[in-house]
Amino acid sequence: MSEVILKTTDLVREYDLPRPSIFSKHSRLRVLHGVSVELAAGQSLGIVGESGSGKSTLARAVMGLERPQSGEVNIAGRNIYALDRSDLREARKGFQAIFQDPYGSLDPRHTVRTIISEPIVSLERGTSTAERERRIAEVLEAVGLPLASAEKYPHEFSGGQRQRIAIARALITRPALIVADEPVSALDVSIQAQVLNLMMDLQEKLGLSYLFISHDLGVVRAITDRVAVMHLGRIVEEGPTAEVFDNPRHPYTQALVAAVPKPFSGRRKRVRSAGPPQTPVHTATTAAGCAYAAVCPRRQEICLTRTPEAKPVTPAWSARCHFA
Amino acid sequence: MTKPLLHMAGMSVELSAGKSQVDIVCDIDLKLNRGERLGIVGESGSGKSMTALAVMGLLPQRMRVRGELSFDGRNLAALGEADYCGYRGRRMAMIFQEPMTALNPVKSIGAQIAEGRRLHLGETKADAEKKARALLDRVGLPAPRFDLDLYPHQLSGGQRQRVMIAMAIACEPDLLIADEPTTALDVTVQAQILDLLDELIEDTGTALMLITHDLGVVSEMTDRIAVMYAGRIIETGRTDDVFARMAHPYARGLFAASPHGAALAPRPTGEGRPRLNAIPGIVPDPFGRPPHCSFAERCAFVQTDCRQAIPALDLINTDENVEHRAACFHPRERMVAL
Repeated sequence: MSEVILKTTDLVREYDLPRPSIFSKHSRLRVLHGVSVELAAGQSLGIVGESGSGKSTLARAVMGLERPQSGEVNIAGRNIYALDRSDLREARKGFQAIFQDPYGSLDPRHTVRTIISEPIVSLERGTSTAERERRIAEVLEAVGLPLASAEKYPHEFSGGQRQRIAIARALITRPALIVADEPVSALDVSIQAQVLNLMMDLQEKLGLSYLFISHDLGVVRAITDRVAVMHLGRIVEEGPTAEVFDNPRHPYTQALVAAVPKPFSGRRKRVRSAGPPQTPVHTATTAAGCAYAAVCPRRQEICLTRTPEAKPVTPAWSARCHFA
Repeated sequence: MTKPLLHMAGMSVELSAGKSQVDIVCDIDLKLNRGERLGIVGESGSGKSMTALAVMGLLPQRMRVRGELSFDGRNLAALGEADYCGYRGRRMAMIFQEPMTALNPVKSIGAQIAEGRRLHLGETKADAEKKARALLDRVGLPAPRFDLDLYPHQLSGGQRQRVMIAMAIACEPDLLIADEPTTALDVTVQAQILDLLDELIEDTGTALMLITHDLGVVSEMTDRIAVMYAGRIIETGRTDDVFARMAHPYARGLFAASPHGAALAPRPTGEGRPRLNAIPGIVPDPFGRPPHCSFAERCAFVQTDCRQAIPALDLINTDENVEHRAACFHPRERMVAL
């Protein structure tokens, strides 16, 4: 395998919960229970899961926006939480983000020029104006927007074009890693395909790596090489995207894949989903046993007493289930 | 056949902006019988939600309905607001997309569900609340965990959507309109809500008008569909027929662009990842719709006559007495062998 661009080791992230009264103890909510993922340079890794599974928290931890209580985030071999301010600023040039809402993530009072040049202004101080202009032209061309767009404001663009602007902003520091948190969820199907194709073109041209977070299994299937399925802060299954979705091993992945309505399936052939959705447990210490056991159709005695380890299905594919 | 429950003939929704007027929705012909399930598919700006709001009489101030729009033989367009109130919630009800914003945050869920019965059926508070309790059980929110005096903020998204459904079916309406009922929900919750809708419709025999952009959802939930683009119906027929043929290039493009379609397409073994079949361009703005086929600019099969007139919704096939129609001068042949 080629060089590893992103590696997280045992990330744990907890949030303090409000106390019911000032005399009660602080309780904490553990959102990430030791998450380890690896992404090879030039590849893309999808993170799928339902709301509350911790996928966005993982993205924020990778971006250096939320310091995990323990664990490491290594980007291009450097632990970003061990860097000092100036080194972190230097390192940030190597990883950028694209967010979900193309309406909320662009400042409505700035021109596109100001928006997309902001990463240069803040991360690469001392870049000459000529160089900046050249880079702006370069990224606008890369995302397929006319040069004249630089003078316009975000409201003058459609949703798909705004997402192109967000991508241009992410590309301008020439990063190696892009963290995309639901980048196409707010877009219509036909526009969604355009943006996904653009992201694939850019990946091939610039050798980008994507950490691609989405709840839409179809989108993840189209753009990623590997996928990690998250459930209540743990990765329950990880492997090559097509294989995992075609033949899921973990019962949670099976429930997710079965729940997606498919065209041509005819009326009422939906597989009944297993139980109500689960929410994160309000404790820092985690009880023994599998977190999915409460609703799992394959539950046995052992699931309630022992937390399953990630078991290899093939060398590149693992599932965290006693019976995978 | 008896009279259809809902009948639209040449219905348009007109928006006045300053001096100019424009049709947001044009020339809709649709019929919906009792107990039938109709899906309306389209992207944002296609007019699918406006069609639903027109039926409910909830159009914004600046819009107005032209053409025929009748419900159970009564012309809705001519109905006064007071009369409309007798229909809304009683004979026809709507489930909105955002369960977060569609519920009243300062009223308990019990009061919100009971409201319809108290207003429309004149039930006493006690009776209506008893009924509300039964409805909550029906939609899968059992006592004592889900009491009538809970407030919307104490519920999750899926639970709120269940409350919305309970409100909508409280007065046993003849027509249920669901506007993207599961778009804001996770897939497993979506499956539960769709199952619930399925069951309720089967039990009560109400007609369903399901508005969605998700081709998977319509395929599983409906008997007939209408695909809308730029304010017009461009293809309609039995759900399986439309899926099997996709005569209109837009219907076909929409399917091919979706990840569902991409998953079905053969994967080339060459270098690089296969691309999705995106539809180039964007949906024309309602003020700038061309005087010819509005999909011509984005269509891969465009010919000269496409830029000369607006194609009529022509009959292309009839299956089990349901017409399959497409608004295209050059409809495509059957795509998938089923």
